[in-house]
Amino acid sequence: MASDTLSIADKIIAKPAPLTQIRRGTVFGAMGLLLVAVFFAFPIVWSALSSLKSTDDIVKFRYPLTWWTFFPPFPTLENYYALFFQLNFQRALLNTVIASAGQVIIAVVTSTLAGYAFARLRFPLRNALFGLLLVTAFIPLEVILVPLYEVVKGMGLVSTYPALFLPFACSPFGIYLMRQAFQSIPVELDDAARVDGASTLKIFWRIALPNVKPALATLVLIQFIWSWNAYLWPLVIIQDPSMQIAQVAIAGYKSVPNFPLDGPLFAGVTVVTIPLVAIAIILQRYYVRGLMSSGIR
Amino acid sequence: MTKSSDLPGLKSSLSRRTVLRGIAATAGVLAMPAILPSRAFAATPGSNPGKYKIDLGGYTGPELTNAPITLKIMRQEFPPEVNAVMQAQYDAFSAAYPNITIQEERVPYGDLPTKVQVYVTSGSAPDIMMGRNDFASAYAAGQLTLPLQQFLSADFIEDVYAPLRESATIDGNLVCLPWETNPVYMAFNRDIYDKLKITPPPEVGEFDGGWTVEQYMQNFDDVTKALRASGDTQTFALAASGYGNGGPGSNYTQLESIWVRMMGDPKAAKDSSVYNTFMGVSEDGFTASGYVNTPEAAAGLANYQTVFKSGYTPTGVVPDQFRGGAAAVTFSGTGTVKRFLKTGQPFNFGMSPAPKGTIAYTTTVADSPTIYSGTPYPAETAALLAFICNDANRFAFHDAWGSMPVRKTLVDALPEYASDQRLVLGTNVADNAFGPPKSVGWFDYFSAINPAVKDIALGTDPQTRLNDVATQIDGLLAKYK
Amino acid sequence: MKFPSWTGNPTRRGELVIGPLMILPAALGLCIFQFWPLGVAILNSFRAFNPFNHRPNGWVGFGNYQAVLADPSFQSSFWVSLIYMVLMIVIIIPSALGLAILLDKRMPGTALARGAILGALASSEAVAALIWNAIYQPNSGLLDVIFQTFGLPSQPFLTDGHLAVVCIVIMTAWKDIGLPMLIFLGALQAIPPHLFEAASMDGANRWNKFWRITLPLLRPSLVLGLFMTTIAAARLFTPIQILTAGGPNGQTSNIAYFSYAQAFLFNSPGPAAASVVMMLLMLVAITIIQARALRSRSGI
Repeated sequence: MASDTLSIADKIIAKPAPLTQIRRGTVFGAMGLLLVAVFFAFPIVWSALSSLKSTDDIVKFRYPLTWWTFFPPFPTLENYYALFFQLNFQRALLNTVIASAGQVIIAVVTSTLAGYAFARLRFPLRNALFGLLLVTAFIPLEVILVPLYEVVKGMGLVSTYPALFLPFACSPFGIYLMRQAFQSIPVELDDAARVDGASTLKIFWRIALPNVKPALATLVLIQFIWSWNAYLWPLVIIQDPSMQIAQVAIAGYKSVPNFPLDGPLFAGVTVVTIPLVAIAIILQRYYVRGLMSSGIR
Repeated sequence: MTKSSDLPGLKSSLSRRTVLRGIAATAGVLAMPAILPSRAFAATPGSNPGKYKIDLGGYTGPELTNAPITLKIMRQEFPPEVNAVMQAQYDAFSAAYPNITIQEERVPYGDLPTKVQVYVTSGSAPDIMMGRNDFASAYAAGQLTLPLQQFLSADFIEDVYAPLRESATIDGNLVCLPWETNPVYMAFNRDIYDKLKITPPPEVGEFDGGWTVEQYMQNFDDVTKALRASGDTQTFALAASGYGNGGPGSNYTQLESIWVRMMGDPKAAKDSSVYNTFMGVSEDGFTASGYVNTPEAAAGLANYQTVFKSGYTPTGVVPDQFRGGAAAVTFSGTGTVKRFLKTGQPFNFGMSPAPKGTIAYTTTVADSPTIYSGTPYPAETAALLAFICNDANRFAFHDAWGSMPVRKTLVDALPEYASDQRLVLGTNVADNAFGPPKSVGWFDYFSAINPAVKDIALGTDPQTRLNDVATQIDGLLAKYK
Repeated sequence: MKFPSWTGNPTRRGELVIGPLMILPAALGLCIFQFWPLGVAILNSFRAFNPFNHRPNGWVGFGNYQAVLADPSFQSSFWVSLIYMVLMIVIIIPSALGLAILLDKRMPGTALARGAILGALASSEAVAALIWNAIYQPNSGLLDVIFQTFGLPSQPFLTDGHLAVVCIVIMTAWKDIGLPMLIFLGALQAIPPHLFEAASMDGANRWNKFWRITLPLLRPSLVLGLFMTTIAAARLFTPIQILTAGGPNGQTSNIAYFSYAQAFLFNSPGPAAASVVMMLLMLVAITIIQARALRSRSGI
């Protein structure tokens, strides 16, 4: 490090901080994190709290804004009862789980394979091919909606589970992300294994994959979120109501004119968010320094 | 009271009404029509038991096939109790015709056009799709739907309220079948008026018996000033629109066009500015300039703008403002009345006609099932549609859902529409309202003018913005020529 | 074709086969479900359509392109797209990096904040836009009430064109910041701690370590984050649709919204396809420029 470039300001900061200052820093940091948490969690918490109100109370207290706009004056679980015992929401949820599981599994397999090949293996046209596949990330679904529908129709898959997840299971983002992750593993690890006579696939499986866990966690999480929240495609491709996914079901509660189902709507939004937050919490150990690095390094 | 047998004409109508009331009362029982004697009822426009295996209502086509077939129907999502009613109807139909399987697809209301478009483009679509009467011209010009009069009795079609029937009829072809309606007029919160000691709008049954737009504006002004003087800054004289996406520029067909077209007059000399204002589009349906941007239209939207500028109504979206008790008046209709009657009213309310301009004007828009022109089974599809639209099935549907029937004999059979002023007014509105302007490009027109209306609400000069949007709409309509 | 020298290396010659084979599943999926429909869309951009059933009924050459380019609302959408892109990149990338570094430290509240950010990322776009709509509304919105409490005048959040663009960007940043943050957070894990320790021994301070260790090592991830944010910005659609529907006076409409309106509101599939093809070309150009710029600086 070239310490001669340090500015005066840097030197002041660089002084070893007294204990009280560190405490204060931690307190400020924690408060900052709390603010961050409030800012990002607010809309979700608002929906969750609203789900504990009857639809009439939501209508009554929505405007003008008071504390009761946010907190339920008469907490009730009737929306959840309606959701699961009248609206058969669990079926829609199951369909979403199937679609998301399919998409995540295929995305992980195809992205890690392709990402590794693009990062580590050498073959002609490698980078050109990578750039070409990346172009698909730019395509908005709205514009290929009808042609894509016709492709899936041609395959005889309209209103089937594979139609929900196959079209988006191969992800340019996933390929890019995994290529990036594999590239950051020191090449020496591969070379050492190769000298030991390990095959390419063995290196991929035994050495490369265990070293990209944070990227894998990101890939799983993002693919899960994307497929979990998909709306337009499931809307178009599914015809059988018993196969429709949760997001479309929720939109159905929202769009009933004159007789809105606001209560079940917020309950549905909350129920749908819970698995995502759960997955995020399960996967977040891969983002905590130290908990995982011991296993690799 | 005159004995009914003295007056044959009255007798028949009375007996029909009595019979229909009986049907309404026992709609649930009628889910099993097979156990009823086939000649128990006089035939009505929407009930014709005994002719086919099941009461196919207004259907007059050939007997249905014996071959195993599947009919697909796509409609908007309803609450579970309404879905159950629909399912019972399909079950009854399939019980009578075991060879016909019915597959139903339910879509969030706002997504219906998208889904219809994908289906139609791909060349195969459900046999029945829920449409809307304001798109009838496009259905006809694009040959997207089958004309229905070939399968339905003239009585049955005649029974539909005239404004709706006419808006769904293009060149003599009924291209969609109005299904339920929610005529637009005014609801007011009597508690707010009582508290402020201000006279509410008149509770009359006549379509044209209400206040003029000037009287409404004066009333909005009085209410707003009284509310603010009492320290209430949160309640408004006029509720934010709950139609479409809500707020200003929410749904021109159903709501904002009232402010414009009330300034026109269909009885004025053809090609006069007042006449054109009412028409909204040229007779061939391809030109909006000179129709949507007349001085009268601009004056109508200037009134509309005042409602926002003077703080009579919120400039944004406030969901359920009227139902939440935070507005004195709202554009509404029978839907609100029925809901309050069913769930209990949160406050005292009354109903009054919509504001009058040059003419008493309001619109009537109805969801309207269509039969896809590419269906391989036109007769069977029409029979299914007629079945779910027969008297008994319609009563069961409206009872569960609360919307207003589109056929007069159905409304006449429901006692509340004869006795309750708030609903009587609704029937008069349904009888006298006007359908939307007829243009094959109404969807484009509608999509272009909503943002323009919103801009005007928020302060843009009405005449300038209308001129712009007229040019834009002319351009959009050119592709249909 | 001339093969490089390593093809002579027997242990690596197998890669010539294995490499393409590993790419095959992804490439096949993308070809069937993305490139094929894209090809159809490109063909559509040269076609005329029946406005009623949206089926092609002839070829018009570059007619759709000419029509779109001559449309003032497309020109405006083009510039608005660029503005969204710049604003989102400027807001999201530094904030995501800052949050990632903050969350990388072990402080009380880290798990809570991380959960909240992931929660925002996990909320569906439509629901997020509906809730933010309630926050931004004039007369009834949360921000309006907060402003009133402090005696400040109401702000035209969604009704002034410039402010509305900012409001849309803030909502989108709130929703989308989680993804680049996760990418950065993952990359931070990969930095060997001994580098920092060595730097500390050399007397380097925090800024020094950030500029000389963290940032260079994060550069590939920054490129990825930039790529994702650029795409998200270009495809920005649902918040526009729900918050402003492109208004006031078209000032918040970008190319994505323009093409949606052409296809789904104005029954013009040809111009819709043409505008998207132009957007794709613009995106490819921007991405190449970004990648070049960042590559040359990092000297990779």
